[in-house]
Amino acid sequence: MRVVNLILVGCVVALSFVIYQQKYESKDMEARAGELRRAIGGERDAVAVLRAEWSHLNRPKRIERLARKHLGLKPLKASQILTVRQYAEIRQPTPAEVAARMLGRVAQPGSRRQAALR
Amino acid sequence: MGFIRKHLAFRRDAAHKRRTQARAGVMSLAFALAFTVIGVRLGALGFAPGEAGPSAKWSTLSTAVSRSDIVDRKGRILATDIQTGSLFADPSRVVDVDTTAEQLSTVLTNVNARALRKRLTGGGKFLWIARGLTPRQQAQIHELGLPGLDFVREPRRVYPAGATASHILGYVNVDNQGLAGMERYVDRQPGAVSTGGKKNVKRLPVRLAMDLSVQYAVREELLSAMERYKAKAAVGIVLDVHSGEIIALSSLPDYDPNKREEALKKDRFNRASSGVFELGSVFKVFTTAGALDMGVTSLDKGYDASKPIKVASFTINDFYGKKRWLSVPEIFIYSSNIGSAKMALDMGVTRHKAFLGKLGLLDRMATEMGPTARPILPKKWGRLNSMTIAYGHGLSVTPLHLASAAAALVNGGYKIKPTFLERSREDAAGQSDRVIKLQTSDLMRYLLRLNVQKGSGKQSDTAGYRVGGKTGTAQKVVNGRYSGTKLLNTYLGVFPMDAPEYLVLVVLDEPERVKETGGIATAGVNSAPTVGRIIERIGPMLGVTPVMEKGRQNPDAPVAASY
Repeated sequence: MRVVNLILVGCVVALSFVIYQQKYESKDMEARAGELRRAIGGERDAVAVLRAEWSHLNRPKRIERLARKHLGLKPLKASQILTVRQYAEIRQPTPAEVAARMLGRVAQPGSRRQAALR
Repeated sequence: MGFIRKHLAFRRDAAHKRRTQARAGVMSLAFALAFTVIGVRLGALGFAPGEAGPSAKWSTLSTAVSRSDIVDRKGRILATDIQTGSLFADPSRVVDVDTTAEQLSTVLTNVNARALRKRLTGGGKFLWIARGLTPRQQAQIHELGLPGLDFVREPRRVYPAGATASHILGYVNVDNQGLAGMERYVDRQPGAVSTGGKKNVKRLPVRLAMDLSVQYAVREELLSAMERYKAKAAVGIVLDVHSGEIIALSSLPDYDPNKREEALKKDRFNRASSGVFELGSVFKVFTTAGALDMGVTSLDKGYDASKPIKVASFTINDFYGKKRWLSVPEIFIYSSNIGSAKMALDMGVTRHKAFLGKLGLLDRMATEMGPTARPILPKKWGRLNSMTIAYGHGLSVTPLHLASAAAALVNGGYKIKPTFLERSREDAAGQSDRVIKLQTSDLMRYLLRLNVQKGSGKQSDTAGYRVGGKTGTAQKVVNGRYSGTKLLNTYLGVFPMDAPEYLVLVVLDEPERVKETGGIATAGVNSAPTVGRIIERIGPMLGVTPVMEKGRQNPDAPVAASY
């Protein structure tokens, strides 16, 4: 009888310990989950703001202005569009012409460098 | 002796034991009861849901609606929600009304200190002070450290592209509810909006047919046209003639939907769908198409246009009178009122009216934004009405009506309901009825191209894009009479004419006779070149392959191919 009682008491103590442990653990986890949920919400809001910002920065008006200013681009003209067949019909430069053009292009920076050395 | 003593002791022990047992029983019952109570309570507490955070409590205060994003056909964001702070006060907790009002008005420029003081002294428990504040303003107010103030997080609608697509998007009110345009459409979609700060709901964006790049190009060209020709207002529409998708729609002057108070100004309404106009000679496309489709005339027939038509006290005359017999193509490219009126008479009033009705020009048109304005028809449609409507006077429709009806003339003959939402050409074909024969549509393509090559539409021609089109120079009604100087100029352009894909409509309101146009102000010199410039810009965006005519082949091409 006494043994049984002792075992039961032991069980009660152990169980209550486990339960309290669990309870506190779950409370902590809940708090953490709430925190994370809030953080996710905050991040989501921040993402929404950044996406809006991104779209705002990519609005056509701004891109056009920047492209004109920094890249020297202009709206595409129909005459600048070719089909492959049309391209083939155009007389292609001979290898000698290509070489001449490339040499001409290479020569310039070289001469500039020489000028700087002098 | 010892035995007795032993016996007595036993008896004493037995009595003692009985009493002890009874006492222990009562005690254990009491303990059992107490522990049960504690256990039950503990269990109940354990199962109770975790306490709600403060945000859950506050969000119920917000009356603002969370909304689906609106994106263009390529997924670029046109409208989205961001979370902002809204400031409210609990007047019963405000300590010093004067300081509070004074200091708040320094941070919030649109808050009047005197008005706020009055509202704060009015008592109560809840008072909105300002909604949709930026994080910076929130921080500033926080630093003031005034008691009785607090923030609610609320969604607020922002439009990253600003005014570019204003009339398609519409706008929302202070509670984020859609009041106009596609924002109103979003409100009526199940699941697209929710209240009470339920912001973690996943919502699909509403995808429009509009292409932001095209929309931007159209608006820019309209703006520069308004400036160049000193017009009061302008409308531009780009429509896919096969799918009925509205690729761009701009009505100027417009507004920035981020500043909704701008939208309420009187002249900022959407002229493309809410304004009805007598659009003038551009209506001859319908007269010609009707007459050709019914077989009452053909391209090799013609009409005598040498003399004005007199009906009672009314005279129908030609703008650029040729004073001779004109063939049907000539009537079209010289825009002869006399010839068109005679064509309408050949059709007969009933058939003419029925044909226009079939094209949808006589009824309100339903769109996702809600119905367009109602066309204004003559009260009694007689012979004279048919004759004037033949060249676009006496029937007022919206520019959207014109674009949608004209699409049927060039797309092979199908009346397609225009849409602001994405739709495939196959889907559109399944929902559309044939209104004219394929041959008639082919003839109309020929006539429209001819008018650009030889007639009033010359200035709309853009190298490579095979533009076709028809002008309309309508005199505006001022004080009940047609004005000689106030014009409404329309140009209906379609490209490429060998297999039409897109329709571009431009309407300019009261363009003036400016130097650049040689002192004249007809549609051929202002609306037509505007359409030409628009097509030149949007052609590449829409993937229409330019074809250069023989002889003037690709002057820039060798440059483009060099390296």
